[in-house]
Amino acid sequence: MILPNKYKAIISMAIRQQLVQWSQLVGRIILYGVIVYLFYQVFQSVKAEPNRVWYLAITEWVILSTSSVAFQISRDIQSGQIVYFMLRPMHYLVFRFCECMGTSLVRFILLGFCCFLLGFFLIGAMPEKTYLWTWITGILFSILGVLLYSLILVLIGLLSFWIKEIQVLVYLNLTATFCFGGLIVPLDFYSDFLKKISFCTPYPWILWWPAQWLTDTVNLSHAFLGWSFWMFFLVICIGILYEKCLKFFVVEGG
Amino acid sequence: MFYLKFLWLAVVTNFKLSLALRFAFFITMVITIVKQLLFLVAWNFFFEKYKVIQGWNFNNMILMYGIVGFSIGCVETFFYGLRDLARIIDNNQLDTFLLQPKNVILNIAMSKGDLSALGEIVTGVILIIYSGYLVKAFPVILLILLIGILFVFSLFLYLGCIGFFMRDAYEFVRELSLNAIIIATQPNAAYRGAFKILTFTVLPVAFLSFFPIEYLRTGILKYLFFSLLGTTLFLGVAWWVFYTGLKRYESGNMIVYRH
Repeated sequence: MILPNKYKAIISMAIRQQLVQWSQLVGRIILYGVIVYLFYQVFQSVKAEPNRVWYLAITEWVILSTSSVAFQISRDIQSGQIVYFMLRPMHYLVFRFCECMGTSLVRFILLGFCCFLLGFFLIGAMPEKTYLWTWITGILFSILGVLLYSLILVLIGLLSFWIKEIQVLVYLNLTATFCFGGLIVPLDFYSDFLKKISFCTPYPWILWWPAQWLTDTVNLSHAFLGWSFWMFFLVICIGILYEKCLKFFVVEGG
Repeated sequence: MFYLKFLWLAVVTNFKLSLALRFAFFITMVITIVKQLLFLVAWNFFFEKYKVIQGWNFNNMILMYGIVGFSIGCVETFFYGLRDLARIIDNNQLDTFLLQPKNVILNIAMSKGDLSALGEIVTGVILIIYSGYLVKAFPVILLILLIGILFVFSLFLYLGCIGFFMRDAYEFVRELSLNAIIIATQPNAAYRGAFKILTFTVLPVAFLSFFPIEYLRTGILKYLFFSLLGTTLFLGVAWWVFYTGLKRYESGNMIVYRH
């Protein structure tokens, strides 16, 4: 699928905008460094295997790369700004999604470097599976994870048509990612029951899949199927919800 | 007395505002409780695998989450304005607060309240009860909770003041606050070296989550003393940083009204 030039322009604009907001980027990098180093100390104190630190560095990389598109959509809806975007010859949600991709791309590249450097500096070695193609595919899976997570955030953002304050939903989503996505420990540590519940949610395909692939083994076809299902499901949900939102908007008088 | 009345009126106003959207308010509260509990589910499996982190077990972790959650909940419920401090400075909107015959810091802090943070207070209480320490050491827990509230108040004030020294600092401050909360809610006993020093000095979250738990775990009184002394000093430092920064503040001459 080829992206029209107007959306490519949005992505490039978002990239430049993100680069200008350096304080936000610095904050992100500090946050990333602090979390990874903090857990490195925790894992060291319990004498966990070095791959655990790599696992965490990768999951944090994915989660912190994603831009807060939910708040942006919510702000547009609450302020009525969305009306002005609707007048433009582009789909509002694709516009916001492309913007989110541009922002996430900058963060993803920067945090990727941090992940690699910090992981290597702390552990002194690469993860056990150090083949080049494993890394390349792992990075690709991480990007897919960011895409899926961004879609969830778009869905949450749209909910602000009905729920005025989405902040708590965003935090709930973050916590669910922490718990069901296996942010600090792989899902293999969980009980069978919770593991089953986790795999019924989209979260393992955001974090667990890429991190586990780079540090251990994953059934790729199973993982890709799970990811595709949730992408498809979320796109459908967002489409339906957006249609409802528009109707709701017209009834309310815009 | 004047401030108590002011606090009461601010709480009542915020409560009425929150209840205007009753359904959203209760949903928010429930989600906040679920959110906190989900964190502990993941930690439970961590502790099942590794048992103890430098003497801390899962029960200590629950207690720490309870104390930190309760403290953050209280400050966000009654003094949420502090979380907006960097934005207020960024937008040069401090004038409204400076012109009133009230203490500036308290006025900013009480200008906004987030009653959905009551969920954090409720979760905090549940967790402290579940850890068993509320019954075992009731007066000490009360003192620790008071210290916790003072500490979180100081922390948000201290971080918000960055806005005086840095342009467009709001996002940065938000990330830093998140950092501080994350550092405070991990098993502090595992921290070593420079990182430990950081949690005692620049970002002294140890006074909130390390010393109180160490006291309750070991019974050694000096930990409680350190927590109390450190928090008092930190409050003083935050207060001083605010008034030092205030000298750098430039009015935007903006006409604004408060919601």
